[in-house]
Amino acid sequence: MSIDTPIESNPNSESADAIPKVAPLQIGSHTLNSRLILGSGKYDSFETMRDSIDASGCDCVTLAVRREKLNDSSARNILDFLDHDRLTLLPNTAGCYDAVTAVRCARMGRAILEGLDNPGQNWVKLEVLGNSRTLLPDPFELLKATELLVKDGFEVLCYSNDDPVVARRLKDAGAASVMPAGSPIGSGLGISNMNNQRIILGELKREDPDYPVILDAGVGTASDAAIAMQLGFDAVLLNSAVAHAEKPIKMSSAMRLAVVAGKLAFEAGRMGKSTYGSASSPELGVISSRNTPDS
Amino acid sequence: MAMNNTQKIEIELNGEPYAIEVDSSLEQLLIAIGKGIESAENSSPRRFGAVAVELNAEIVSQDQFSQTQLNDGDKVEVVTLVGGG
Repeated sequence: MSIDTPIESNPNSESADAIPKVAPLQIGSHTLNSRLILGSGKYDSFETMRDSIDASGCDCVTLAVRREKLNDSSARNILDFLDHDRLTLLPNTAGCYDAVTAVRCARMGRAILEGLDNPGQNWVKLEVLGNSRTLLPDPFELLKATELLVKDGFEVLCYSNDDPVVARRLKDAGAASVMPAGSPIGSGLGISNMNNQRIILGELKREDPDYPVILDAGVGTASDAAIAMQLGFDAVLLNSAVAHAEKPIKMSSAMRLAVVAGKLAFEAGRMGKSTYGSASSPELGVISSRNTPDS
Repeated sequence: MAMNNTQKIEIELNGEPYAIEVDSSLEQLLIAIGKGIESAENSSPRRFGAVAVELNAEIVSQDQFSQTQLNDGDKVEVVTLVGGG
């Protein structure tokens, strides 16, 4: 190795204090500058949600579709706390347990965003659950709903099991992105099957390296998000890890940095692992001569 | 049964029974439940705020609310956006 021939230049040499930039992410027709997608649920207050979104630096926020409370004009509307002129909203189908209901829910989300003139009106985070305790997806209904929504013109981001075959089927059905769960929604367990995630990334990106694959659900703290990005995920979608942190706004800042750190680490290419040590300081010129054997 | 303008039909609104005058439109229903925004500027797309309406499991677009008549037994869903992940 020659130390006189650098193989990379420093892209941030002029702004040492700024957060390094990573390339924007393309999902279907949408371009996101942040690799973090934040959920808007579970916050103690709309104010904390708003400030957490600001701290995250994200430009995409998920929302759920629910029945209006009737005769309750005093209720504050979440949209008054979301800068929906700047943010791309991503409606979800959370709480749906069959394809038909999920499709109805997606269409309702689209109709609301059309009324708001928000660019998120053509996409949906598709969630079709199979079990109310684990909140894990029902892959059969999920695939059916994906096919129906793709046919209806939606860009479908599929919240999926961490199963490589299911992920492949969803991509083949036309999903704009497959979003495997790291672990159950709201569990904070991080990535429970790292090898399945590696296989999913490998299979979905084989001959299609720009196909967006997003880790959705399970992230508990910033290192989980960084690990996901290091594995090669294109983005991380999370909610509880920020909303249920002791200090959500600070955790949101941590997540912002973690996805950038993980993405850079992935691009940088990690060093090889070794069972044995390899000294960082030269052995040549050590001042003492050693006379004890290795124990 | 005497025909008069207080005669009502019963629909199902967000899963609950709801009585409304005969010949009501979806627009009149939304105004009755406080979802019609009286705006001075007559620019229409947000007149009903951030809601979507489904009539018998089919989406009705906001520009059709005034022309959509409600019938006895109709199932109406009025939904909005809430926090979610």
